[in-house]
Amino acid sequence: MSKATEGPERAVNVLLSVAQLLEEPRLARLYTFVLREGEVTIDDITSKLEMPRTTAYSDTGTLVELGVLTRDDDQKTHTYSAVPITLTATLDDDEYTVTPTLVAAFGRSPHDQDLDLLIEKYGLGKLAAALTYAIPYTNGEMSERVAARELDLQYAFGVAVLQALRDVVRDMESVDPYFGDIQDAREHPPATEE
Amino acid sequence: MADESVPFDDVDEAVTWIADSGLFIACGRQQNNKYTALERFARRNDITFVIPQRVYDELGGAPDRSTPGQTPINSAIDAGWVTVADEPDYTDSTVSRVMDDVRSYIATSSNRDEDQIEKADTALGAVAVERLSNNDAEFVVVVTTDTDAGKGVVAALTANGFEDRIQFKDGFELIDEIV
Repeated sequence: MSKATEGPERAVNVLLSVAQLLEEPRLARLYTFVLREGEVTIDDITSKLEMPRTTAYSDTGTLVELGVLTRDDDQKTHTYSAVPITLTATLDDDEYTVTPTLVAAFGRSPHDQDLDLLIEKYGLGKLAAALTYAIPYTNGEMSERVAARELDLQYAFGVAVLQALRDVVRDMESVDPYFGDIQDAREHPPATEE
Repeated sequence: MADESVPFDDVDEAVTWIADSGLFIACGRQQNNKYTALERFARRNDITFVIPQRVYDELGGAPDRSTPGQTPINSAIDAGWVTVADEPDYTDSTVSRVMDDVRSYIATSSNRDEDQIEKADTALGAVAVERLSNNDAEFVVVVTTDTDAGKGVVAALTANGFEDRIQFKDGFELIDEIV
């Protein structure tokens, strides 16, 4: 790889990897598990995630190929560890930084009816937006009511989503090295209507 | 189960518990046993949770497949451990002062303009002050998962002459203690 292409090539590869992680919740959940545990074996994955062995092998293989997991082949039992990812998307004046916390939220969705319904009805973008509210909400810096209303969801459903993401935020805050880069809705009041 | 710390546990006078939407939603999320635990807690401590009309309306309109869409608030009301408050008298000057104070507290703590805070956001405070000023209750506990709202109600009531008669109980904390 020549030096001149290395940067752009890496950036686009990360983009594609992140896109794939955010396509399949099972991969997102596996990636999050490895990131939280630090170093895991296939046995850890099959027992903790209750995943068939063949799926564990094929999914870890996929994630290694994507460059978001690394496999240590030196030890007798191979171990896997996660590469923390971060990707900032900018569109006009809007900016969003995808970090492992969004991946964790997505990976949880099949096991959480509120997150599942949110993604089904409103898409992944809404999950990302909700996360920017869940962070100040979890830290007691934004009212549940204000956050749910600005998310523009039925009020009680909005609260349920915030509460679901509160669990994600609490789990990921200390694990996600890029947590501080996620946009905070508290800093961005909606424009006041004239 | 963590130790229960029940506010105003040591007083003999009437204590009213005012509960917010988020408490019932949090009880329904993931495992539903939390809802049973809340009912048991209410019965054991002889508590009827009072909810503002607004809270009742909010819980009623949620999508079917969401947690709040499946929250059995009506059966809790039928069973008697939850009751819906009458609309507060908004023309009462103390009520409106408390609501204004709650609004400005929430605006500051959420980094928003006051006109972005709605009247409904102050419903807990309105019901609380009405209960205290009518002498329906000597003490009020506000239990909510909305930290800003809980602290705002306590600050507003304290500023309007009801100091030491109001406490905020964190809804998540209560659930951890009773499950």
